[in-house]
Amino acid sequence: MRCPSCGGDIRIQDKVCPYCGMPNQEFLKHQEAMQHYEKEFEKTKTDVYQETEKTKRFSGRVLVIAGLVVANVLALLLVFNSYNIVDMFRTSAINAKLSTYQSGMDKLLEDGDYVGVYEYYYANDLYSADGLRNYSSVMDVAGDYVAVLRGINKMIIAEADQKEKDEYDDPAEYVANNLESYFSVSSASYFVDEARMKEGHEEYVADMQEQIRQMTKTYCHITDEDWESFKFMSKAGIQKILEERAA
Amino acid sequence: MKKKSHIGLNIAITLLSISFAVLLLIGIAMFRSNSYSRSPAKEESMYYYVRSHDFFELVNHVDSNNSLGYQPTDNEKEYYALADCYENAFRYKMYLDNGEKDKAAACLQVVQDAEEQTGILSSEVDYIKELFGIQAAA
Repeated sequence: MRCPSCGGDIRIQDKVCPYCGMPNQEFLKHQEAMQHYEKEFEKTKTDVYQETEKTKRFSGRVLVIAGLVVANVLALLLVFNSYNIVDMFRTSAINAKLSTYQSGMDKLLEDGDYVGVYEYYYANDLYSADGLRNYSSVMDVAGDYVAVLRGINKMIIAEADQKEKDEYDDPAEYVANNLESYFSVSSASYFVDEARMKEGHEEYVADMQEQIRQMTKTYCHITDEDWESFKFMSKAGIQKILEERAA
Repeated sequence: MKKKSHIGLNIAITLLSISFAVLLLIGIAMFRSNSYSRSPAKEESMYYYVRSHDFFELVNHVDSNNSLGYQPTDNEKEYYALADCYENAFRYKMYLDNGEKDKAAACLQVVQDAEEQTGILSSEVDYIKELFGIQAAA
């Protein structure tokens, strides 16, 4: 590059001409351009940093939202499946001690302690164990046995203590209700299903049925004919006979 | 401007956090209610059954306690004996009435054995015996 004043050879970075001392206009332009570029660069750099920061913050929030959506879905599944989850743990705990429970049930049945076996079955939630499915028929009858027994006991105590008849807790109605249920269960076809009845349980079922008959005869003062007719009667019909015999 | 651009996301985060906390609390409550297990009947509740002459419930609760492997206190053992007494007195009359004398005699023996262990509840044994006509027959 040549100096416009003396024609001497100058470089762009020379502030003045080294030969005549004339200020180098190209240098000034160059300096201005450099300052402009530097400013532009700084601005671009700041913009890039800000954009990156903004994107980072946005992505962070989106990530948190995604995490929360997943957590909500899992919590919802937990809520809807809480019974199944608890049941799964309960069943596996029962299965771990299945033989103990089975021998406990067998012992109570052998002793003829049908109230005891019914309580044992429900107190230990044994109805949820697949391994004890073949106890379900005997437990159905035990349920009726306990229900009829409870009603008859209510009747006995109410009569002995001369309790006034309660509109919401009428022992005769309670017994009639359970006898009707008993007859409908014991005559149902599923009752004799072998899958639901363990071998040897027929004996306990027969014993419970006989005891239900005997206790109803003894404490409700019914005749054999009454008993036979109960099988075909509605709850109201059974209740009517029970009340007539009690009078 | 920055705040404005994220306000929707912040609201979403807040709502999702609240719903997660609520669902978690519901889940815990449901787990607790589903894993409910029976607790044994103590002396107070057994006393209530005896006082109201609800002996069958006493029998039921004693059986339930046994099923849960509960070890009764000395006082509670008296209630257990009374439950035994009632259950067998009931059966005694039933068997006797239906001509099963051997079974009736076995039940009467249990009543007599249990009676000795009823302690301060022995007055209730008299009530039970009268109820099932044991004194006259024994």
